[in-house]
Amino acid sequence: MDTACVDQIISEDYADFIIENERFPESFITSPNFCHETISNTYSVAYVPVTSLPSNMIQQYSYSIFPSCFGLMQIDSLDEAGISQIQRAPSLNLTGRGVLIGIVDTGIDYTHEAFKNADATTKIVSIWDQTINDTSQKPVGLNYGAEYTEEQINLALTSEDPLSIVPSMDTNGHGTFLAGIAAGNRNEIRNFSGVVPDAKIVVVKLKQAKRYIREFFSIPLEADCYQENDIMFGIKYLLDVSRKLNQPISICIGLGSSQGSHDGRHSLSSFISTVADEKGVGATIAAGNEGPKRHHYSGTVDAAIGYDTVELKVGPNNMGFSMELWGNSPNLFSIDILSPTGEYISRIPARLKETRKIDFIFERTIIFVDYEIVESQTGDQLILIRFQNPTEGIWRFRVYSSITFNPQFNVWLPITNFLGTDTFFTKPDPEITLTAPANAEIPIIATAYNHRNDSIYIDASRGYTRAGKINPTFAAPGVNLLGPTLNNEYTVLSGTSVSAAFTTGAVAMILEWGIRQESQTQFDTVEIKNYLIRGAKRDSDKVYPNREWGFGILDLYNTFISLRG
Amino acid sequence: MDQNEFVIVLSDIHMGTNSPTVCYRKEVHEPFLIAILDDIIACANHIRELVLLGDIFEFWTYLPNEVPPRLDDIIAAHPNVLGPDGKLNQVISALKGRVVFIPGDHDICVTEADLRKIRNKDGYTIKFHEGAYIPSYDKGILFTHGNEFTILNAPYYESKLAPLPLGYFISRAISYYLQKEFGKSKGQTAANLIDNGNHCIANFLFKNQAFFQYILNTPDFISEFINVIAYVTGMPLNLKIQINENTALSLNDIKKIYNGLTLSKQSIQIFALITEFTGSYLPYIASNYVKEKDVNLVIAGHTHVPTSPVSDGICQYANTGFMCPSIPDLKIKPMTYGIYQCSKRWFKLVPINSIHNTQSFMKLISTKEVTNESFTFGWSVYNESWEYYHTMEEGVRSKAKELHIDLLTHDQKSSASEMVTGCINLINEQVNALLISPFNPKEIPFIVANANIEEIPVVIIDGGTDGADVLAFIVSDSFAGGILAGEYALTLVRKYSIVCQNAAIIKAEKTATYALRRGEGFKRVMMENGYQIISEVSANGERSIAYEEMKKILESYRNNLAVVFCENGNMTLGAAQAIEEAGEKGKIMLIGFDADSSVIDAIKQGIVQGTIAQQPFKMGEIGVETAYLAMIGKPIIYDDRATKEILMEVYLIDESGKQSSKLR
Repeated sequence: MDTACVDQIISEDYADFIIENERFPESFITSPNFCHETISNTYSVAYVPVTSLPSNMIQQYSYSIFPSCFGLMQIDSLDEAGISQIQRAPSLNLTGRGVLIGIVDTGIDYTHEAFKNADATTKIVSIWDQTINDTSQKPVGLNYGAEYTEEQINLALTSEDPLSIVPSMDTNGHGTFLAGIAAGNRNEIRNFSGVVPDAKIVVVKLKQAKRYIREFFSIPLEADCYQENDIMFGIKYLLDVSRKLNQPISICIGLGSSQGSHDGRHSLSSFISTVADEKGVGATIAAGNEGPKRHHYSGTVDAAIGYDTVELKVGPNNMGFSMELWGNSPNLFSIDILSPTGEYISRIPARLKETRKIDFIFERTIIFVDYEIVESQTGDQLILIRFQNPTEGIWRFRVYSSITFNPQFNVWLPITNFLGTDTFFTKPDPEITLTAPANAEIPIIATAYNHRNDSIYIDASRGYTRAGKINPTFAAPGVNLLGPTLNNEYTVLSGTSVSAAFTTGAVAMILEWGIRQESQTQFDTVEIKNYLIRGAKRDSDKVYPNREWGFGILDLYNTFISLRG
Repeated sequence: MDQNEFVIVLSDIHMGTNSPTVCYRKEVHEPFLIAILDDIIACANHIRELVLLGDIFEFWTYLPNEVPPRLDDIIAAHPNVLGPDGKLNQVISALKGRVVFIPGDHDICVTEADLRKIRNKDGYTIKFHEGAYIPSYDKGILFTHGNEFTILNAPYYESKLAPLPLGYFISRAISYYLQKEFGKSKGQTAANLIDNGNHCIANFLFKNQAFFQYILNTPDFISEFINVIAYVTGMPLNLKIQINENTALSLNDIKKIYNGLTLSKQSIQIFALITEFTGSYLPYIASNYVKEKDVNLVIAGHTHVPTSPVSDGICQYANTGFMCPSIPDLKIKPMTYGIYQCSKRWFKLVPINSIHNTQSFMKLISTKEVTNESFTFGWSVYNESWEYYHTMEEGVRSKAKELHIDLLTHDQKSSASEMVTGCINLINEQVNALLISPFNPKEIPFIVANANIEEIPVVIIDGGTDGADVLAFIVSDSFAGGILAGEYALTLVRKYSIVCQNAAIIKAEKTATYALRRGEGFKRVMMENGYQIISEVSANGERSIAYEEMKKILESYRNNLAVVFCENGNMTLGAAQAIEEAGEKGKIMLIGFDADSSVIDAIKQGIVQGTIAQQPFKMGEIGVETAYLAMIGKPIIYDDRATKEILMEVYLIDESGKQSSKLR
């Protein structure tokens, strides 16, 4: 039973579940070839045969153990006109020496000049590629993927065919770009430089989410989509490397998901908060690009009326998606459904623990509804609504609450990467749209702005968290930034993952500053965050903190002025 | 079942050395104690905590010339229990350290450091808690040994012997007396004495209130009191009592040391002194804690008088009894200990009559665990010959069959008295759960009170509970039904291009809580869509009144009314008659509630345009399923936890007379 999960981790026939404190459900333990791997003191991942899963999984196991699915928080920018170089803080002479940049993303094009030293050796400490299964290359303590060391990469760089020696590639370019923004080499001709070009880089290339979980949440099979547990293992790997080398690390998470409670109690969010609190660890997370996407609705059940009405416009040819309603405890929420063609599903009582499958008679749509009255991580109520082949048009939901103790609720649709833009709420709320793990408490949450005109990035998600915690932390440059991409090229990208990468570089500078002090200070994220907040630039016309800008605009120069003072 | 559901409470074991005056005799009591500890190990997964509620060890009842043992000596004397491989250590390991020790009076000197001497190989230690203990998992329960409100045995801090109370020396004097008694026949120990275990000093004088009255009136109370002790035990006042290797004190010395223990004449303290040896001490402890802390269940030991939970209206209290009765006492005063169920919050005493009689414990722990056990449910139906209830009964039978549950059925035949006697009979048959669709909900509280005595959960299906403490109340989702009626009304007015925006509701009787929600739901939808409710009149649920009321409405609104909604089937038929007579059939839309065949017929004739149907079959099924979930200890999800309501969906029968989910 306790054998390593070598096969189960990569097999599409096994489902992954994130379990706290090794409290595995009995049915897991007795299922054939069940195994589990440990992420941290709190979290482990259980691998269970897909065929052994019951149809009412949410009811049996609780939503919280399902890995959420994450997408990349970047958007291709077509506007090359306004490209400008990253403004490095002047005369600080902090270039990331002795500090690691950790990227958990789509991997890295290690052959790119941005990651090569002057002597043609690599700046990359190691790459853990979760997609390559080479048992001889597995990193210590992790049972899948392949790890490539600095030596192997250097060897590859001298080879005619580097991929024959280190076969890890970034086929998307996102990870390469983020690593470049944070720590890429200066290129005078292209007028490019990473924030800390002397930092070394540790890279995790995530594997794509398994088919069963995409199908469960109706995520398009072609979308780049990563599982929560693989990201958690990735962060664990970064920490292992940082500890082994005894060097501080600045971690960048440029991924996001609209799944979960949006209050920082999600597994990944809690985990990153714990990690970020460790000495010598800085963690920066992209705020998300969901602000104006109309994928969030918030409402309060009016006791006098007895319900609140939510209208959802479903676009053409939608294959399916899942939608989450999170209701404040101790209210007890329930919904009814009216389809675009007028088929009405009367209010669905909370009642027994079952997954309601609703087959619409006059259309192809199937909807699955799960109520989790007390969701196990938040204590709040979750109503999970999963659509298959939803009919185009306006779907109407009434939301009821049998207890009316400030019966507030929020509904989120998936991130734009998984849903597109033509499915949305007719009366959306652009606030509380930070994507997980940007609702986490400890890490720095970077939103993006256009540093040429000091305007907020149009797609940026807005705070605060559902629990009212002040995120984002601040804005960093994230609109039309030039950075390295595949094939030794440079490209222009926008998004909060870009501003997160920029901030990751800034965090590395503070870590470097810390170890250069006589007393060798190892900062944690909380300290770094407070330095950066203190130094942030604020517009006297605005009130801070606010939901768009957090505490202002990242201002490294001012931060170091205050550090020295 | 939740793990860690039970708390086991052991008190007053009085394990000491093998001195004849110690009531716990290894050869007599150890097999019992080990049997209990074995049970705890076997059920460890279900046990939240083991509470050792004081007087676990005996440091008092030794002869004056004996040096009382240290904890090391006691551990050495009981290797089977206290040794490194002893049963208690096995328990500590099995419970992963979930053991708490609260000192009593006879082990008042035990410290946290002492407890570490019970060495656990797995590294667990017994948690030490001085004084009253309110566990973190239940803020309503309080565990205390119970000596703290007594005069003689509460810790006394005003002397160099602190916290040793005066009672210690009384125990030593009584040991002196007992030894003289034993001397009369060979091999005697405390275990041979009738009534000895029942508080060692109670035999002598403390039950005598007159004695205290006399003593209390003397000027030097303590001195006089010690003189009496010396007199009744025959112990010389100048005989030295060994406190430890280095210290020995006589009763005369004691007089000076405890002279601070003067009684103020406040009656409460006098009461406390006396009550320790009468039945009134336990409620006295409880009342003290209720005043001080917000608890509603107090568990004590100390008095050796086992007491099942008693309620004084504010607080429940119980006493765990003791675990060292003498041999002659064993049959009439068995060893007892306590078991507490965390989620249901019951406390029970478990008597141990023989070492083979510990199944009661296992049974208590495992009652709700056995899923393949066959259950018998009682089912009492409103009137089996009615279509609606007949269908409900079919649902009950179908689900019972599926879950292999036996059914005892009873037909109320629409009679309140038949309902009560039938249900009481089912309770007397000791069914595992009782399901009722009540003819008269007003009698439900009486039936439920009777069922609760036998711990039989009651599920009510439809009708009402009249506020009784039921397991669940299965009822149609009337509010959603009203909403659905409103939605359908909007569909009809669109379809028939009715432009007027007036609607009327004919309501059920004022006491029909659930039926009235139907009109509420309907009203909300109509008003949200710009309609005006021109009349909301009660027709008491009756057809003839509905007929009259409808006629009145038509007098004013005959040409200016779009929709009428009636909260039940009978009223729908009455309103339909009035509308038809007025020649407005099919012009004013009429929507009802319930789907009796007469209503369906009316729809087919075109005098009613639709109705909301209930699902009695599914309600019956859910009733059985809910009771079953309780049997196997699974949680039940209510739509309203306060009223224990579980709602059943309703559905629409449209103008074609068929079920429909299509509104547009």
